Amino acid sequence: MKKDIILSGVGGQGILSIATVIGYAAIDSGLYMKQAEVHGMSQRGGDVQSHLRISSKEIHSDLIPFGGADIILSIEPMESLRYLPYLSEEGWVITNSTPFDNISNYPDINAVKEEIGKIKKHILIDADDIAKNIGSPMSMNMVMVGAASDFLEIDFEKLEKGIRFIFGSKGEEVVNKNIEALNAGKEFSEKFRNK
Amino acid sequence: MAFYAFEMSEKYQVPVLLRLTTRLSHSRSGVEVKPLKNENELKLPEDKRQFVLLPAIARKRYKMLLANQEKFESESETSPFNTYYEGKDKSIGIIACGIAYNYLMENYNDSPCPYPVLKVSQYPLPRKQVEKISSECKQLVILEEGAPMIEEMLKGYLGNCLNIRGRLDGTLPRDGELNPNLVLRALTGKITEMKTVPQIVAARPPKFCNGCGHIDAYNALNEVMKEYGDGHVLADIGCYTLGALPPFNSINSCVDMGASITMAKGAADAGLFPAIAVIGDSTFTHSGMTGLLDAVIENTNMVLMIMDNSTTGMTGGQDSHAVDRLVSICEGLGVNKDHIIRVIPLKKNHEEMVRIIRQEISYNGISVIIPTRECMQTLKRKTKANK
Ligand SMILES: Cc1ncc(C[n+]2csc(CCOP(=O)(O)OP(=O)(O)O)c2C)c(N)n1
Ligand code: SF4
Repeated sequence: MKKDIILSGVGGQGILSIATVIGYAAIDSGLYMKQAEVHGMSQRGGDVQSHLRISSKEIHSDLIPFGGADIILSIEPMESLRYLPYLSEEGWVITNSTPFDNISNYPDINAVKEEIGKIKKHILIDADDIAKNIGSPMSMNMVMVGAASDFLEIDFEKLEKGIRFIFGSKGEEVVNKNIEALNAGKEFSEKFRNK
Repeated sequence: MAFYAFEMSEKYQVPVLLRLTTRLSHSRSGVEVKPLKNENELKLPEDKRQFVLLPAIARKRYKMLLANQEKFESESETSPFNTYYEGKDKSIGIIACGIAYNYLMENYNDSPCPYPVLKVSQYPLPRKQVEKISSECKQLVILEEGAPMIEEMLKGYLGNCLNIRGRLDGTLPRDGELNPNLVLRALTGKITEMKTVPQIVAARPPKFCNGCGHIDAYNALNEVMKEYGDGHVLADIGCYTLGALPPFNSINSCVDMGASITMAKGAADAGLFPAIAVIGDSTFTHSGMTGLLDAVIENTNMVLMIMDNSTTGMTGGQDSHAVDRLVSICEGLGVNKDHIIRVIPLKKNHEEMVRIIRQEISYNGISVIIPTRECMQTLKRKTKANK
């Protein structure tokens, strides 16, 4: 088993929590894991990208090769397109559809969605809306983890455990809301694929 | 590796450097944790003058260091971090250093590498293995992140002793980070096919957080500097370095911690007027104070702005040594009290800030303006914690 995942979004949106939850679940499942982050200045409203690799065999490179990613998991729609050179022929783009518009020349969102629609395998999910509906807008990133969960080849319970690991100190309510978000994302993703 | 480095350091009584390259520093993975080494007993060195590096002693110590070189080399030859892989195809021999080895092996996930590979992760170079690979193979390919140090060493100044490929002959790019695809191209000429980025994707440069005080401070500074044009503001490293980017374009330098003040002083000495230095509170206490003392002693005609957000914003909000001490530090260094002025960088104080910056530019001597307002990130964290 090997999954190469590009995580993308805008600094401050919560990519690191995604990486931590999946990474924790991977290690907890006895898998190898490597994660390379783009740090520093990019954290302030700039584009951020992280390479997350999980595998049952030892992982060599810290960076995912171009043309090698199984999944681009993006919490911002335009950002999902920025990393297309990494996507493999059969790879999935799973992206939030709510734009994070903090630049003056942000493209027309419909054009962005159209570009995403051109990708053979994609899931477009309004994670912001789903998170709001369950009363926890901050859990948008866990909705995205849920949306990708069927592709990770990691037990769903391990992801829940990962959530408990990073949010545990914030109390049971926060943990439960995030697990609810995880489930909601998974459910939407299934529906989207069966459409 | 750090464990091993500490042991070597103890064994030879020398500092051992753990060299990290960018990607390695920003990468994590599962690690096996050994039991902690016990701390050394607190004791004086046997040679009590070991660190008294007067010329006579330093000369002696340098001889000791030189005498150890052979041992360092043989340590490298037997190091578990330097491995030799016997590949069958001797048309190429690969020397892969540090993280470049990972990029190499990424290309041989499914089949073994056909070429001999010397992986180097401990220096000095393991001479025996280097001799073996260079005598057995027709050609060497050197894979190194960063500068082509080993490649230059092995190639020699005249470049005619060995058949060596790498960053210097264009087999790999001369600069920039390596990756698995570049290494594949270097070895096989194969160019990875990849999708292109759709044209509508716009650049998203980093930005100040909403509400950051640096924004208001730069807006005021920019208004004043309109009269003087570009090239008067020497700055430093921190979140406020974002002032170099549009829409602000406020600052003209960022060299190393503390250089804002010394560069502005040098510029003022050379006749630049006005000369403005911009530094963060934390960078100021790290290495700006000595420069300020110099400016005080010569009463240099410059304005120093210490951007006090009460934290080390850029590196993640660690505590700043400057908190509650900036004014007393400046006074202690001898800045005239009347020319140490705190302002609160808020939109509503814009006119006041503009007036104060103008006024201090017109004062012939050293002034310090301290825009003071907490970083939005640490503020948010504190408010959350208090809830
Ligand atoms: C010699 C050195 N050590 C450490 C760093 C890492 N570093 C980057 S910015 C910074 C300090 C930033 O704090 P401050 O000056 O208060 O500015 P702020 O980011 O809060 O605006 C540090 C320590 C560095 N660039 N150089
Ligand atoms: S982290 Fe703090 S200092 Fe840095 S841009 Fe954000 S608010 Fe400003």
